[in-house]
Amino acid sequence: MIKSMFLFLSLMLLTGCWDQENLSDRRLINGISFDLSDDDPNLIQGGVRALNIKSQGGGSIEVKDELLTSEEPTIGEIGHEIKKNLPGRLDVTKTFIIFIGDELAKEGIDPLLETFYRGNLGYMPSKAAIVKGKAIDILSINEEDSPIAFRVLNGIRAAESNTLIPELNLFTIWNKIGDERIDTVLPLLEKTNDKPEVAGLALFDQDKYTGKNLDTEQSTLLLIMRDDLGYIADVFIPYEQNPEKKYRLSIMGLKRELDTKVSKDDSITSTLRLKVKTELNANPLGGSDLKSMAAQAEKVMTKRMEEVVAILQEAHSDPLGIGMDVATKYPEEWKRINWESEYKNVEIQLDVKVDIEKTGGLF
Amino acid sequence: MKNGRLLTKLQIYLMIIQAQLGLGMLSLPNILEKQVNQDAWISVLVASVLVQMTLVIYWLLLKRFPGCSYHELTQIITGPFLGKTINIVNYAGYMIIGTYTMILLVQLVNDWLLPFTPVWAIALLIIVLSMYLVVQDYAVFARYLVVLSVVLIPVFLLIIIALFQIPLEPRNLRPVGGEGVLSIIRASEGALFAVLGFEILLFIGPYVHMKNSKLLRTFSLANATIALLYIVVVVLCIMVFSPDVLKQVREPVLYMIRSLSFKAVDRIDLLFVFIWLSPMTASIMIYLLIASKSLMGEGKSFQTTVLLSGVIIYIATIFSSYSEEALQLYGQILKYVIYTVVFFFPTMLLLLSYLLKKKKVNT
Amino acid sequence: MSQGKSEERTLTDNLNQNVQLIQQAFFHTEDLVVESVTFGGEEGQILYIDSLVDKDKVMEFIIRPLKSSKVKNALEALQVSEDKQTGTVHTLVSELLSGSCAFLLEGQETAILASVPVEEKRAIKEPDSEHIISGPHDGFGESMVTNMMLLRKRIKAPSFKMKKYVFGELTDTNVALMYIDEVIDQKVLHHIEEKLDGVHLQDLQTSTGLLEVIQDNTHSPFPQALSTERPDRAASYLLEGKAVLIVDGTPEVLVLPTTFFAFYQSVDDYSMHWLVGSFFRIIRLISFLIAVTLPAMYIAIVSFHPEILPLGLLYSIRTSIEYVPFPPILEALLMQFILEILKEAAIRLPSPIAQTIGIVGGLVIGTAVVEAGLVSNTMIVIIGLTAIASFAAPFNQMAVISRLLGFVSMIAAFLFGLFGIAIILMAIIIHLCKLESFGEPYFAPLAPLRSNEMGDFILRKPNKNGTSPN
Repeated sequence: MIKSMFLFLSLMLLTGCWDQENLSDRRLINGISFDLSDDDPNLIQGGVRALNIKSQGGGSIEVKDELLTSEEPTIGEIGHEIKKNLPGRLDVTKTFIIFIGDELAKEGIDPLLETFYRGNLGYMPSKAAIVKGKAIDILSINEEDSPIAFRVLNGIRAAESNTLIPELNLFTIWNKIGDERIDTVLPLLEKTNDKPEVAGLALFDQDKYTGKNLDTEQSTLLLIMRDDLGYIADVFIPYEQNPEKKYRLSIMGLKRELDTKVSKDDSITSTLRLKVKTELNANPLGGSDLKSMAAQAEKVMTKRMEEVVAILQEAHSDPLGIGMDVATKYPEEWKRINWESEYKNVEIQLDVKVDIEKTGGLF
Repeated sequence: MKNGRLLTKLQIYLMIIQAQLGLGMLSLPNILEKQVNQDAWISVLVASVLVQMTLVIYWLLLKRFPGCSYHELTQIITGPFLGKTINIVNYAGYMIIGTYTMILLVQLVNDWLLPFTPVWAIALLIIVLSMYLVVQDYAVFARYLVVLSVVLIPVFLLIIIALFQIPLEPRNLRPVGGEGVLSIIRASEGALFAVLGFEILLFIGPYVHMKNSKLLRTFSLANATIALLYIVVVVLCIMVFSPDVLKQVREPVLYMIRSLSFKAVDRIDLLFVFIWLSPMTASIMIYLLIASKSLMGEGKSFQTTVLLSGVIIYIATIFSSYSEEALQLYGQILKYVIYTVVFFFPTMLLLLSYLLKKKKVNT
Repeated sequence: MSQGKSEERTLTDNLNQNVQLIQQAFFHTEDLVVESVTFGGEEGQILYIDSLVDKDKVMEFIIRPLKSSKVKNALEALQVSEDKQTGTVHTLVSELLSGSCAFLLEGQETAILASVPVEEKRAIKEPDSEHIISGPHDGFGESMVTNMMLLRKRIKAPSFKMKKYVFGELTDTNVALMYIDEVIDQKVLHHIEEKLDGVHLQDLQTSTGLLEVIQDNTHSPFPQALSTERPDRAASYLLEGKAVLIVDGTPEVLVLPTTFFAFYQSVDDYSMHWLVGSFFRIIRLISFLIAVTLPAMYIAIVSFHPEILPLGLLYSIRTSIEYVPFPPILEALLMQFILEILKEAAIRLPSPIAQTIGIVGGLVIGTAVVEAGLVSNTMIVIIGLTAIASFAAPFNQMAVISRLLGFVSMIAAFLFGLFGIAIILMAIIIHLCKLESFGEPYFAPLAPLRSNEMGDFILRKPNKNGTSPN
């Protein structure tokens, strides 16, 4: 008994630990960028920012980043190439942000992200963002500084809670780019004055970037239409008498109803009913007629939302999930319809009701 | 028979639950989605009805031959020669199911926890552990299964967390029943592997002494609990994943958990696999137990059989893990084995016992 | 002992020959005192072993009455409570060894034995190893009789029985098996008695020595009987239907059969409000889990699955181990090893020095080891937590076992990560399920599940076995 246990243990100890790996041998990667190469459109330029720990002596340690790039036709080869230049193993388990250049995104993001899904190591809750111009430009901001992605990530989180962009991660994006009945949107970043900035939303058709964007104000409206609010959602409505000045309404509650009908001749009408409860938060001109202010808000929001819908239909992007509605309510018709061409012809009607329920501490 | 070995109602209930839980649950949504899309959960329901019918058959057998183990009653009903043949077929059948479970488990551990550790080492640990438990015979085994019920708590917690943390798409469930009754029933075959394990009840005879109606109620309650749990899990997966993605993912339940992230812990999927290892190994232990039981009743010869069978499973696992063909062969045989061993034999025996008017003579 | 020939030997009617016989049996030891006394005109000899008898008693109750007695019969003359007569040398020798005084008379073939043992009494004080906050503060001592008295004082049921055994060919140690006949499960009692009847020992000095021979599974790391120095604890187990083994000469009393969970229950649970008691029980059980798994978990996570850690934590651990040259398993083993050494050193030393050792060892070495870059500070935190958690067990036996199992799971974690820990935990649970303490399942009431005993298991439910006029 004892002998056999001893044998067993020594067998295990001697043959070694196959998967054991020292944490200090791992190069933790914070962020990744993918771009179309400038020289050859068939190549992808990839960049990673890896954690670089340096001892200052006396027990104090400095945490810095290191930027590495490579150009290869596929993601796998990029990783392989970067590995050669870096001591230790590349570790993408904590890569919490992925930047994709807009030109590359137009060719489809599925092949870029696929490897993160397939492997056991990909980090599902990480964020992906489209960058106007080159993604590497954002990744290389303050190259020597402490982990960059912290900063961008915080910006994205703040934008999420302000309902500028939807709450997304690789997992939810994956479930939308693989679904022909609904499309995703990704945050659009821009480099201004050496700082990353959320510029709005990039519209997608399946996994391909359509090249059309929504600005931040339109993004909030789209998210209201999707009933996908963050912590705070504000809309700014111009006064009827003085369109230069605007008052601010914060959204407190939202009721959304999407009703899609397919008629006998396969024409699709979709009605989106929204009931918005708001709080008047800033009223610089001191308007006091809440009723008319609400009516003005309804008018303005409907108009702006119609613009948004027009952009969506033009871009052939369906983040509202009208296709999903058709497919689940009319499965037979859905099989018949060519959604690719039909989506443009869907008649989307908006019915927005705004209530101003609170006015803060002042009347 | 020692008095302390008798099982109580609660013990039997928890035992059946533990026996049915296991490896199957993790990939169940994927297997069903491939066949019946949004109606996967109905297939689970159908499967559990089938199981319920089987349980009634088992119960009738137990009732007709109180205090008898399965390997004894085959001989009582069909005579010593035929009975022994059936027992040997049963042995082979259980061994095949057990080996298949083992192969899948080792694969899962390789995929999720230890990518480079060789199969022989993982399988060795599992099989040694299984033999250590099974050698102790039924009473200790039942105790162990009951203790394992603790692992149900994290499952419930995770389900609740997933409900609130991941965006759900209830429209994915529609149209209900759109796949047609026939294909739903056909697909329920795929769910059977996940609910397997209740065969352990055939051998429960010598360890129960309670009113027959109570026994049936306990069986049914346990089966209903498992059905409910599986339906919730499957429905949750359908709502979380888009259909295309769900068809690609091998273990959707783990992927769903993988997308969760908390301030204090990331990658809860790994911790979940860690916890779930115990019900998964329990499935292997069950087959090792009932395989050995169907050859030998109790005592020294039983222990030798357990050790031998363990070695056989181990060798079979190692050989078939390295060849894809062997694995496919297993998958094909498995279906027939399940039908023969789990459903056909007990039904046939029951019918025979009624036809030949065989009953257990005074005990 | 003088075996062989003397066993069959009997006394003769020759006094001198008898005395020589006895001296021979004792190999002419010098502390065998022989004093001459005349009784009723006849010459007699009093024999006793110097260190074993109370000399005042010998003087007062034996020599003086014999000298002044007017009765003819020596038995009547003696004024001791226990006296008897024997004719064999063997009995005589063993009685002398247990503190009797022998009186031999010329012309008599039997010796009169009077029990006058010296009674060395130690004050009853609280045991050091099992401190409690509230509750009785008395403890068992070395004398079996005192220990029995402490129990008898608590349980006044007439069915509280005692059975005496003597073990050890060289030591002749008295062992008392005590139980309440109407409460104990007769099957269990039978099992214990069967075990005790089969015991043959060369010597018996500690209760553990006895336990190791009678327990069901010698290789199991888990103690299969609870050894306590607290009479209140022993009494409460007696009332629950357990038996108690008292070995003469040791304050540790064995309670059997026992369960795993008994080791995590303390008597103060019952002197506190039931909510408080339950809370502490849960804390103690969690501390067992921590002691067994925490360092292993750390090793598994750091060297196999660092992705489990959230970003902030991962970065801080990553920076803390950057310049540590050892793999985490070595770090952990090193620190555990240092800790065990410190503990061992502190136990043996008088308490003022032990405190110094604690400070030097704990604080100075701890900080220096981190600054020297030998061990990361996260590891110090982990090991410190583990050590404290292991000491939270009310019984030292379990504290040590939990640390030992911690080592095993550390090695498993080092080899197989989380998978290894899962395997080890399953093995421990299977072992606990399988283990039986004197025929009773060790992991009860969890395995086998006994819902009626759940009330006093992890939770301590309020006392309901009585009524009050209300």
